[in-house]
Amino acid sequence: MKVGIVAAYSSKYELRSEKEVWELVDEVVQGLLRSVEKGVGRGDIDLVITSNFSDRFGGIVHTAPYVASKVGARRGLRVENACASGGTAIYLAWNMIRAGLARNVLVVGFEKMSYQPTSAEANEVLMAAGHPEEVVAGVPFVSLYALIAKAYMDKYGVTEEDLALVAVKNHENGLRNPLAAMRRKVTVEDVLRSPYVSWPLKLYDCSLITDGAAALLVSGDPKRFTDTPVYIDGIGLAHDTAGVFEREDLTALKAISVAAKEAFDASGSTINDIDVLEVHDAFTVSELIAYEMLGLARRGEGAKLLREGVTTLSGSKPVNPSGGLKSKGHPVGATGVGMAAELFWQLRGEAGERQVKGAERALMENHGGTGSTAVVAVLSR
Amino acid sequence: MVWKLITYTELYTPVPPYKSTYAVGVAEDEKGNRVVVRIDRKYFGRLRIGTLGEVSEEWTVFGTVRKFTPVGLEEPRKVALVTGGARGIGAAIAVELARAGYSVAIADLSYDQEAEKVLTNLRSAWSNAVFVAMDVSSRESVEKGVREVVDKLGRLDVLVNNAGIMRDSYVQRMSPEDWEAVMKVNLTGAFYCSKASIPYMIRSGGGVIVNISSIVGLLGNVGQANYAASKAGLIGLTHTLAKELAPYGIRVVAVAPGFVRTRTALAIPKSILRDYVRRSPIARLVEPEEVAKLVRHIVENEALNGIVIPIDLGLGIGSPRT
Repeated sequence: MKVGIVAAYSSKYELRSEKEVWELVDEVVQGLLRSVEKGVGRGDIDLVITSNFSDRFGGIVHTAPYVASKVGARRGLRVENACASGGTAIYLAWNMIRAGLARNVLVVGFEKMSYQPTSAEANEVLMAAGHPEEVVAGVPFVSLYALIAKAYMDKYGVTEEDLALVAVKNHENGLRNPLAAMRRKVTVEDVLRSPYVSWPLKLYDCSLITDGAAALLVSGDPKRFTDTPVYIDGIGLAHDTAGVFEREDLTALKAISVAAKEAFDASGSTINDIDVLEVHDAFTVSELIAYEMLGLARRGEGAKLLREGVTTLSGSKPVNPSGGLKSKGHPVGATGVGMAAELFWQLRGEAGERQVKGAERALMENHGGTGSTAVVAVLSR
Repeated sequence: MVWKLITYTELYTPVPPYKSTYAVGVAEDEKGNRVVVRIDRKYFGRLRIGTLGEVSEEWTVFGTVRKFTPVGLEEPRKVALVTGGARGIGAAIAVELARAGYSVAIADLSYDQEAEKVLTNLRSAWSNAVFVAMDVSSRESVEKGVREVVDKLGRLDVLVNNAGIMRDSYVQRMSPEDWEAVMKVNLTGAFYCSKASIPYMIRSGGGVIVNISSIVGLLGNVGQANYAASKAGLIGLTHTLAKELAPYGIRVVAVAPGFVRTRTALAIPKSILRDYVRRSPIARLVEPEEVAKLVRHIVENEALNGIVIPIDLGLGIGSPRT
């Protein structure tokens, strides 16, 4: 059975939205329903999956019945897998449909991170997604990634400038995306001059604390809703150890490779078949390591791809045409859903100024925690 | 048991619940066991992959945290910057901090005989001592000067905002230029120096800012509206910086001296000075070295933060103090 995304909608991502989180949810649900080309009737949707990291980012839980009642679905559930919540929701939708347990699934991801008064407090909320020992020691995510970055830089001779190139590229792409929260060009010098948050990571190595929501309609009968669905050919979910300190190789995000293998096997494709990617650049270093885990580059050579322009918008493997988490933003529960929405538009040729020409097959990589959970999906038109 | 750091990071952005900067790392023992550890910020800049240390457990209200204490690391020589350090109270503070083991930078408008004398005194106290030309009322000059201190002495741990001027007259006769000149040096200067120093202090794991205010900032004084306002402003700056910077391990304290026996004070007309001393319970002027000893105590006593300490021979007894 072919499972397809038949409609996608995203709010504009913002650093501080005036809207309440449920207003963001309302906006994307209504926007999605309106965008279904052949229409969707009340009762057509038989399962709702909401993706939201924390009620401390918006003030509500138990959101499935709220959304279900809006669309006339009789059942739903909420998933949470840290920053991979959105990818997990899609993984679940795909599997429920393939198992015959659902037909048409509405996936809604959202987060209003500015619900916390300061970024320090937002970081405390996020910190809860670490290993309990990391949480008790008071290690925020930027520091967990800094532990990885330090080990990675030390092992492979990667420099702070190498990391900066990720930010420069993704901000360049974000300039072309009207949905991006921070549409601002940054230079290598800007990144290198930005203050250290957790050495060796600087402010501009970090993704944004963002408000936003995104929605997808996933169907086991895609042609019923559109003539040009985007198929989910394969999707994998895998865990690594919960704690960074428990990993044999501190510089690897192993769950990405495992999830990618599952997705490639299911779709009968390889990384060579992929025309465009959205990957989880929560911190610049994670995009470089993701290249390596996905097989785009050899270990330690992620930055080489950037220097050679392979992953820029006009390169042979464009990564994060949306601007990524770095420029578009990272409203946790919405992030994975928003990645799939971006690739839906890319594969249908609807991505405007950031369109990757002729893209036929795409890959999304959405990970949670320090790569303790990873979801990888292969999509095609 | 010896543990080895296999990776680490210095966290410069305090996050609740601990609201503090510290380093964190992953430590490994000989058997390959690994733990997440926290490391005191005083080791900032000195950790390396491969640093050896001991791991202990520390109880906190949020849980038991593993602490890594490096062994065999050399203690760095700490650095103090004293603005207006070439004469008067500043010179006395510079010498006292040199005696306390600090490398000392004295900043003043220009290098003169007095500055040279202070440098000689500092060096005879076995201190690395440098002079830095700095106009505290110019942001560019301050940024350049502070950078020079760190370039020459390696770090920055203590800033004493001491540079100050007086332009006394009754308000009705006071020119806007005299008002502004005093505010710019005494108050804006402290803001510029603090702002330029804070990033270096964060990077070296904390520090102390001592603002030399005045009893006049607490009590007011006839003929000194500009001076009193600037010194009262330093108290507000002290309170605010103390709250903002505590998570970074930077303490901020103000000292409010009465009349100190310096050239500035002695320039006051004799009759006024005599009248002042007569009103003081201890009928004399404060010695610069006495202020310097208090500053040294503030630097060394880690419990002092966000307060204003009068050193005024009892002149302000019964008056409001903060």
